This record gives sequence, structure tokens and C-alpha cells, in this order.
Amino acid sequence: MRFPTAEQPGAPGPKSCIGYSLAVRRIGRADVAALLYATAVRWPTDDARPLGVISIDEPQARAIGEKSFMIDVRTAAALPITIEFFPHLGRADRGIQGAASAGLSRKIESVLEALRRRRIAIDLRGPGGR
Amino acid sequence: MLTFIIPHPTLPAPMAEGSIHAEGVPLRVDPVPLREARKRAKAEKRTLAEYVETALREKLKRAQRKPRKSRAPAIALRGPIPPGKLRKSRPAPLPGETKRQREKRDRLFHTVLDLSGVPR
Repeated sequence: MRFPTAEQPGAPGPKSCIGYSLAVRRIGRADVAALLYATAVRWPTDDARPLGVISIDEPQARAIGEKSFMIDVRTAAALPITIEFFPHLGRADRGIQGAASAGLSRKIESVLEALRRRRIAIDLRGPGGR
Repeated sequence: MLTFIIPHPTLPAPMAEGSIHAEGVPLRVDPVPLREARKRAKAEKRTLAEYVETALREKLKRAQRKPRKSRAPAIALRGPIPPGKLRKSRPAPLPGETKRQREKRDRLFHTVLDLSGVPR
């Protein structure tokens, strides 16, 4: 999907990248996807990685045809399911690269809980001027 | 079935509701609906001509109405998503998802909204 950038949080970003689909919500008869950003930024050690960033190692990433990457739970987007934000919607798989393991889902849940306990804000982007 | 044929100029014009100069029109009508129409006209204490004219008027009125716009399912939301609407949105059913899984997703979604400052 084309995640909005911090500079233009309401518009599709310049390039398509992978993300984690947290939920699909319905507003009226339209669907909106709530997503977590992925990042290719690397930290020198696991300890240096900030709270909220989950590492997807090489084997996990390879299973969905990607190189290792990080999921940044601190950055989310609520995006209308349109071709502008999801350029691969027209494909047979609708741009879905794979299903997250139960372990990853649990990890995301625990990280969200940790962020909530520490009152760490999430940057929510997408059209709507939040 | 009502079948209109060429108006007969020699027939007297019956007086029917809503018209001062009603025009006589000989009709060939299937006996079954005709019998039913006579029965109903009698029940309403009206003549058959009045009953048929009313039915005709109603049919024409319905035909003049604008057709309803079909409610085709929309899948794309255009324009901004107000935070309030996002908060009140409901989970879209995902194939194969259990009620428990859906509730869990719902909880996570609201946690994200809480942490991003979307008012409850």
C-alpha cells in the first residue's frame, strides 16, 4: 500500500510498501483498513530498538516474498480501500502478500498493550485530518 | 389482461371520476380479471368504469414516478474520514474469522485509536 508520509498524512505516499493489516472497518457501506507501517530502518542491536518496533526476521519475511523488515506499531494509518492507497487492488490476490502468523499477531497485541501502559502515542495517518 | 382497441366514436361517453368529458373506449378484457374487477367495484360501490379508470390512473402514476436509484454496494470511501466516524465504524466481516477473533481485532483497533488521541 502507499502509506501517507509524515509530511502529507492525508495523501497516498510516493511508493508502495508492505504493511500489517490490523483491522478492516466499515463506515456506511465503505471499507477502511487500519494498518501498521513497516520500516526498513535498522538498529544496531535488538536492545537499541525502540518499544513498538517489531523485527520480522529473514525466514518470516521470505515466506511473504520480502527481505527482513520491521513493523512499527507506533505508526498507523486508517485508509479508504481505494486504488490510490492500494495500487495492487486490481490483482487477483488484491495485494495481500500473506497471512501473519499467530505469534506475530500476539506480539503486536502485547506491544500495543505496552504502548498503552506507557502512554506512548501512536501517529495515526490517513485522510481525515487527525 | 386489458386490451385497448380503437376508440369507438359512436359510443356514449360515460362520466367517470376526475373527468368532465370522459371518452368511451371499447375494450376486450380477459374474463377472469374482469370478473374480479366487477366484484371489487361492487364492493367499493362504484361502477366498473370508475374502478377501471382508477386502476388505470394509479398504473400511469406509478409509471411516471422516477425510478429508484439502485443501492449498489459501495466499496470505496472518498474524501476525509472524520475521526468520530472512524471510532463508530464497525468491524467488516472477514472470511473465516470467529467471533472471538473479531472482538480481539476490534479491541486492538480501539487501542490504536485511543493511543492516537481519537476521542471516544
